[in-house]
Amino acid sequence: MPVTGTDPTYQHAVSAWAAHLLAGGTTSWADWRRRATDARADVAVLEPLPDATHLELVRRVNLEAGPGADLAGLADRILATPAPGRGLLDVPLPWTGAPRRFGTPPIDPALLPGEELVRLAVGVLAHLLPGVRPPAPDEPQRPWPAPWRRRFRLHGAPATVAAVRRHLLAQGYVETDWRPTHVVIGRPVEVMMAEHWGRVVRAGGVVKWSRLWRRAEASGRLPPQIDVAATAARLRDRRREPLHVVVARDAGDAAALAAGVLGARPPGVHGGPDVALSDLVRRLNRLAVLTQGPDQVRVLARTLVSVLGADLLSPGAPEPAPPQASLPWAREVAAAGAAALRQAGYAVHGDPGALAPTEHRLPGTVDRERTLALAVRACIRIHELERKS
Amino acid sequence: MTRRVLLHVGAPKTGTSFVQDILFTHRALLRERGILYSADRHDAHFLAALDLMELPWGGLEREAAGAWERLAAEVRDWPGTSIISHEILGTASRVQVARALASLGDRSEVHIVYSARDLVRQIPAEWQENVKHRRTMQYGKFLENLRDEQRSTEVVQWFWGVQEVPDVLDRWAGSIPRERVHLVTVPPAGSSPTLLWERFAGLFGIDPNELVPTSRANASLGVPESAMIRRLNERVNDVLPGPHYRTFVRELLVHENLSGRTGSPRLSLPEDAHRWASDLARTWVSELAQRGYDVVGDLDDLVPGPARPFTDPDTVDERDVADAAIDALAIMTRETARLRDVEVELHGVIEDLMGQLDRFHGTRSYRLKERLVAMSRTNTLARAGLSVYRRLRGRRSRST
Repeated sequence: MPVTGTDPTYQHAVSAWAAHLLAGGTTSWADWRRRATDARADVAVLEPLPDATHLELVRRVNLEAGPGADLAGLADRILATPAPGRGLLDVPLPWTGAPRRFGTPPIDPALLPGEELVRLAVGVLAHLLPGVRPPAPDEPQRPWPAPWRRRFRLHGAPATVAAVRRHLLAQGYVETDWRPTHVVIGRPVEVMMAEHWGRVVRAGGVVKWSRLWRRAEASGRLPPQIDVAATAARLRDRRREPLHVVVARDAGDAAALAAGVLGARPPGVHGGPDVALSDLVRRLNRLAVLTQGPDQVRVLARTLVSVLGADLLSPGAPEPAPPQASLPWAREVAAAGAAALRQAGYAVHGDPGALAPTEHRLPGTVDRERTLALAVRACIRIHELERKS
Repeated sequence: MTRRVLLHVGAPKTGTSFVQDILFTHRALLRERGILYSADRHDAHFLAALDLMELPWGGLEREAAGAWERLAAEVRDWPGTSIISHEILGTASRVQVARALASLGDRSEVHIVYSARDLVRQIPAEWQENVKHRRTMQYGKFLENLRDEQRSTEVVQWFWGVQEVPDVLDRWAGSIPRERVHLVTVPPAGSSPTLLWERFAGLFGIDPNELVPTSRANASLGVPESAMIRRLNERVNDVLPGPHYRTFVRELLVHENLSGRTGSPRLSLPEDAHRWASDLARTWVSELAQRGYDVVGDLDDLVPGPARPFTDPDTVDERDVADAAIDALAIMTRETARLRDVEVELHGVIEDLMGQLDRFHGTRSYRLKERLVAMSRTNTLARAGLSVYRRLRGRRSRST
């Protein structure tokens, strides 16, 4: 009995399923095997024969795009893209022949580890994205700094700060270092870490969510930008300018408090940082260094975010959670920050206790299925953009 | 002249660094003899492999973009024999292999070279290599994972990716005539130290006595030293950036010092793992015997020898680990002192330069210029004058 890898009936069956998928099909391998009683000998055998990961990713793309979507060319590009980095090699599909005695064991494509599909999808993105025109930098329009305009300087949770800043500038406020009112925005520690991570990866960073926490824990403090108490203390010591700290669990509440301090209309700020998106950008950054060179990393990261139409705060993004191992430290550092705010003597709006991590018992890991869904959506979107141009 | 490409794709821990060192050191001489080993730096083929396989590697990948295509272009342009050698190429997937072979051009006669050593010696060597690359997995867990048929962990996927001889050759040599697939076997322990090089040299068409290495091969660590470095990784992984780890832990501690410690027990396999690995190695050998590859050496070299005494790095005598740790502390203390001396010396240089700068800033002409620049911020006439001066100075500097 021939072993799976060299069995002509296996090669024909895989090539036939590949042809079905290349034509937009969405039938799973298990169903395909049940329906196809014998392998079609008229199908040309693909060389190299695609593996389970490549074929399953094509199927996921077809499922996401829906029936009737014109994806001509995208599936071929997926099959031609090597899965980058480390992982399972050339995963065979389950077959009736004798299994290969060497190499990666067969895996039903529907049961493949999500990590394998994400790995390949990021590889595909790294090769597709350079064909997309990068977006212009998203710089909010800054009003002319007339002396009668209200001046401010925002600090703290970076995504919330950016959203509030956009609204304040639209209302004619001026962000300046010349005698501003300082507002430090604090949110639950895991939200601030997720916002910080989002900013880091958009600037080309490659650190993982869990390592970001471990590094912070090892250094004994939060990253300086989101260390609300330390930022406030630094501003109080160095400047004779009004200083306010606002703390709230919700982005909208934090924005309303900050606007209230400055006498501005409350801005409508919603959503939260999307750690799955940050994870996708991180993975892309890691690979883009190799595929496009270090100077293209930020451009591709910006392009990916733009392709997905994502903002720093995404409505509907799952709430972030600290990794389980870092949760005690998160509680500790939040409690220390809250105590420092309560004793500091400057204006604190909201409850400093809101810095504490939300006890929603989430695992604190990145949802890989969501990362994959975003990657698949990005592949389809880029393909659509290419066809339009 | 036939354009031949010898593509040496592994495996790690089979004398590859030793071979690459000789090829790199003597690349000019080899070129005169019609053999191209195209490399402008020692790790050029490593970077090319990272590029081909799109493999991030602790930040080194930043230097790898486009490296494979540059190497392939040189090979395509070379009329004689070219050698490409890196052990991590063994883990390339079929799509990557297809890309690699296509990049070498239609008119090249490609030969696949794979060097292999018996599995019982490879397993401990790979675990130690993992430890030297910041991994923290205990030896017992590593051995347990190796026997996981689903290959669920990344460490194990990598291990089989580079070490599973029949599968590596399936991926790399599927479209290559058997006679152009060369399996170089590493001689068993106790053989002549030059035998492996003689096998490689014969294959490459080089006189083994003419070319000799300039550096020693990477020596292996003893059991307590390995255990100590693994624990050190647990302490420093989150705080020590990759370049510092490479400089201080891998190079300074491991390669330059701890691997030279004598008297420590060497790492081997426990009895049950030895039996399992030996059985597996025999199935490989019988498979390879049927394939008709060109074996350089003897397939029996890949059949493991009898079990050696086993010292478990997970439960090694703590006094031995402490002894290795004290040695490491002494090495690091000396290095810290040396770097402190360098820092003091550099402070002296900076102070001297600052003094020179202060003396320059004290001259009348500099003070006058400074006043003019300050005045130009508020005075339109001064600003215009400064602008004219800068334009004139620019023209003059361009003309000289």
